[in-house]
Formats: sequence, structure tokens, C-alpha cells
Amino acid sequence: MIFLKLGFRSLFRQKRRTAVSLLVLTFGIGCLLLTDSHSRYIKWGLRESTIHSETGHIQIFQRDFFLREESRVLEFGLEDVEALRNELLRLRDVSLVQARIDFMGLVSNGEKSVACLGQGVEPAQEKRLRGLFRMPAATYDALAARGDDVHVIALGAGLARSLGVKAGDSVTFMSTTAAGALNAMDLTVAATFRGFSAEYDARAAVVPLRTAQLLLDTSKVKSLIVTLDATERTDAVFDRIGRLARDKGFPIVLKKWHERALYYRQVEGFYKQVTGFLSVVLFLIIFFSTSNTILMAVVERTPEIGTLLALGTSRRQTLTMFLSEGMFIGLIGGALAAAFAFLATRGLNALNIILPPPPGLTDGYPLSFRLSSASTALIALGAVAASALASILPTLRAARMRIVDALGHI
Amino acid sequence: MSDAAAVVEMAAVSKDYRLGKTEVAALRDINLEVRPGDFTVLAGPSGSGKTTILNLVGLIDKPTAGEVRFGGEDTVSRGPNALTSIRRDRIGYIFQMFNLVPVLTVFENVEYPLVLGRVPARERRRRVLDALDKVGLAGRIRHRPSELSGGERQRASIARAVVKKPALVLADEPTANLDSAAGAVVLDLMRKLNREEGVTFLFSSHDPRIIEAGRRVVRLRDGRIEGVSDSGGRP
Repeated sequence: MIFLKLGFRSLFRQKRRTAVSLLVLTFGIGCLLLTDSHSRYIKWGLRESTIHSETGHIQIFQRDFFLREESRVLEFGLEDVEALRNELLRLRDVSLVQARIDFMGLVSNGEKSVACLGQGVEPAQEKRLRGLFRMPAATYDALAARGDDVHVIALGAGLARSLGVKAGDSVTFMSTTAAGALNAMDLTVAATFRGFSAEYDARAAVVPLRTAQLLLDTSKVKSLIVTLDATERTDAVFDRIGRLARDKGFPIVLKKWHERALYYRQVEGFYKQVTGFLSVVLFLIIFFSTSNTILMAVVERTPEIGTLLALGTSRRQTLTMFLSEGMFIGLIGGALAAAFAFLATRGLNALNIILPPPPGLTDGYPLSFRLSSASTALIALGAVAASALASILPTLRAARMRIVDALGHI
Repeated sequence: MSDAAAVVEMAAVSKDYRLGKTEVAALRDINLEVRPGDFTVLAGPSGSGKTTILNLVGLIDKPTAGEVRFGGEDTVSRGPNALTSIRRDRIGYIFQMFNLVPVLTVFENVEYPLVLGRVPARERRRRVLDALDKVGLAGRIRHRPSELSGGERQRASIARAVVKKPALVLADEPTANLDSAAGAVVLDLMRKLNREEGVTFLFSSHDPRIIEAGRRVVRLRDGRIEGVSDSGGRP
């Protein structure tokens, strides 16, 4: 206990040096926590927006969909999805089940035709899906407002601009049916929309599911999108649906949202690299800063170390004393960093700062933070460990001193 | 001299130091013993070997040749842990520069050797207060060393040295950093502890007034014992 007391009180001998060490640690760890909590926010936001606009939590496909290449549109689509949908909606934690069709086609204004990626959706369901994460759903509102009218389409802003059309204008959508024939429908533009990137907006079109089925001349859908009450329930419900399919004989295959969210995985990987690199750099800074502080302490207190050794302090006890000093620096710095990160994230979140859109994207995004208590504890513990580690070499130097030399040190 | 077994004995001890490429003989063929209750002064000019003898007797250095026996046991062949134990339990130190730990209070400084010796807390407290009372610092227990005068610091250092009731207290020029009045107080205190408590002292000095106070004076010159005078009498 006395060695811990000595270690702690020794922090206040050279107040300025200790303050500089703590400052380095507080801002270093604090900035790492800010980076981590911002990347958490980005990943959380991207995860939930991906789920609530694209992937749902679980996607269901016909069993052969990923095994073989389709030779015709929807060759491996899902048939008679209502029975499956009803079973799914009975499962605990499932809040929405919706059908989708992805297809390709040409959209024309009569003078110009542009290749596009069409998506057949259930507008009311899509609107509910987005509503779960409070995402804008004006496009689906516009499509849903047309009731059972199947002659409607929403165009990406870039595609509409390319065709020179706006809401209320007519376009012709051409595509190949499931049997391989050419088909076309005249559709009214109900809305234009902006997606996550300009490239997407220049090619995307959304129609009601029934419109897509008429155009493709099929009753099949490509997939069912299952959305849950909470993302954390994904694994449990995934297993439950798997059991349901086996028990009831549904010929389906399941994919979790993460497997279908390539962009999310890329962003996640990017942030992991950034945070990892930053962690290494900051821990090196902490390591050398603490190491320097302890080394200076050892040099300055050499006669005192000699005295304590002469009085019968063991080498191990000397080690404990200086190691604890390093660890106290880590503990105090870690605690100050956690407090700094807590206040900074609160303050910055309250300011509602919007950052400019990154390259290739159309919208800015908020500078927001999600501080995780587990991460904070882990990073603060890392600071303690780094400080303790940094203290080892100078401490060994102290413990190995010849008493006579130490006492005679000036 | 009494017939009591020696606390410490040096037999044919030599100590050489290497200064760069030069070998310096700090001690030559020293034979010395300190018996319980002794109040022995090592006297001599700077460089005569006083501190080297204290270092060897204090087991913080080893001789180049010869034997240093503590409590009848050879120490030269003992490992660092065994020497640490002897220093912790049986030797008290008083340093010229006091060497109190600045971040500990007077009480904690004096308590430190007892903590090392794993003395129970209540017993520690009793012994520390008793030691501080004897050196006249009972009213200064919560002060830090920086808040004490030089004389008070040395008295705290003496309390730290004697609190564990060691077999031997070593003091290297204990009054050299004090004015004459404070030095006299410290010397009186050491004599009183020797007389009343039976504390065995071996200390060094080149101050004639201090040397006069020693009952036994070992005169050193150039690393050799020049002579020993013994005024006799032990508590």
C-alpha cells in the first residue's frame, strides 16, 4: 500500500511534467474516443439506413438463387409469397415483410432512351420501412398516393434530368419479360428522387411491385425483405426463419443484412483501419510520453531510490512503486479522457453540425457521435496498460541500481 | 571492551575502486568490530575511507577482499535478497543529507521501515509515536520534510533509523549539514539513545567536536586504520 501511496504522491512532485503527460494522454485518448464514437455513429447510421432503405434485416430468396445463374429474368424468383409472408409475420420480433423485384430496362421520353435499373416495390410497405428509422419516404408517398394505379414510376433525379422529364410527365418503360419477350408500358412520373449517390440517381427507377410484374409478365418476386424491431435480434430471427423453412418445407435461402450490404462493409473496414492506425499512433505517443516522465522521475529520484533500497526496500517493491506511478498516470489520463470525450460528444451533438458530402455522395452528413461505454472502458484500460508498459524499462533501471552509486548520484 | 558478541566484524577487508583505467585502493586490511552498545566514531579526513567502511558494514557494498560478518554470519557470499532482509530488519541509517522521502509526512517516513518489516498497523503507530516523541517531533507528525528545519529533519531521520530497534545504526557525517547548535542537539540525541536505549552507533565525522564525543574513536588515513582510542564504558 505504501508503494502505491508513494507512486501516487510522486505524481505531484513535478506538477508541470505530470500535467503535460496527462494533457498528452487526455487529448490523445480523448481524440481516439471521439474518432471511435464518430465512426460508431457513422456505422450505426449507415447500418440502420442501409437496413431501412435497402436490405432489411434478413433477405429471403428462392433456394437456387445464389447457386445458378439466371438465364431469364426471375427464373429463380419466389412464387406464392403470401403464404410465406403470413408465416413470417407471425414470428416474434418481425415487424415488416415486403416483396421486391430488381430488373433492368430502358426508359424513354419518346425521343431518347436511357438504360436504367428498375425496382418493383410495395410503396406502402417501403414507406413503413423507412418510417421505422425516420427516413424520408416522399417517393413512396407519391407512388402510394396513386392507389391501385399501376401506370406510375419514380425516377432518379439524374435520370429524370437526362430525359428532360418531371413529375406528371409520361415515359415509356421497356423491358424483357420472364419468358424473354419484349414488353413496354406507358407510365406517369409520380416523383423524382435523390439517392445516396449521383451515379445511382442517373440510373434508378422505382415502380409499384404490380407494375414490375406486369412489365415482366410474372407473378414471382425476386426477394422478401424481413425487417425486425431491433437489429440486435437478427441472428435469433434468422435461426427461427431457418427452422420455419425446414419445418414447413419452404424452398428458400436466407441472407443477413450484413452479407448484402457491400457498401456498409467497405465503410466499416475503412473506419476500422482509420481507428486502428490512429490507435497505434496515439498509443505510441502515450508510450513515449509516459516513458519519458517515468525515466525523468527515476533519474531525478536516484538518491531517494538508493535510500529506500538501503532501508531494506526490495527490488520488487521499487518496481511496484514506479510501475504504479505510470499506471496512475494512465488511470487519471484515461478518466480525464473519458470525461473529455463525454462532454465533447455531448456538446458537438448538440451543435448539429452538418459536414459536406463526401466525394461521390449527394448529401452532407451530421457530425454526430455515439460514445460507447464498453469502448471507452476498453480504450481507457488500453491507456493504463500502455502507461504501465511504458514504465517498465525506466522502472527496471531504478530497481537494478547499485545502492552506493544511487546514494552518491547528484 | 565488553565480551558481548560483535554486532559486526570486518576482517582483513580491502576495497578497491576503478576510476576510469586507474585502480584506487579505498580501504586496506581493515580489521574492526562493533559490539552492542558501542558509540564508535570513524574519524579522518575526506578520502580516508570512512564512508566506504559504513557502506560495507551497512551491506550496501561488498569488499574486494576480506570478510564482513554481521551478527556472526558472513555477508560477502550472501545474495541480494538476504542482504536486503538484514538491512531491513537489523540496520538503521542516518544520512548526511537526511534523505527523508519528500512526499511522505514525518510520521510516514518514520513508519516506512516498519511497513517494510510488516509490523502490524497498531504496533507501528505506537512505535512511530514513541520514536518521534523521543526525538522531540511529536508535534510535527503531519508535516512534510520540506516544512522542517535541518535539525528537525535529521531528528526525523534518527527516529526512522531507531524505530525498528536495529542491532546497529550507521550515520554518515550526521551533523555535517547542520549548524553547530542543531549539530549539538543531534549529537546529544544520539548519545542519549545510546545511553538510555542501548542503541549501537557507528558513525563517521571529521568534526573535532563530534569526534570528542565518541567513546571509541577509530582514526583512518588513506584507507588504513591509524589508531583506535577507547574511552570505555557502555550503557
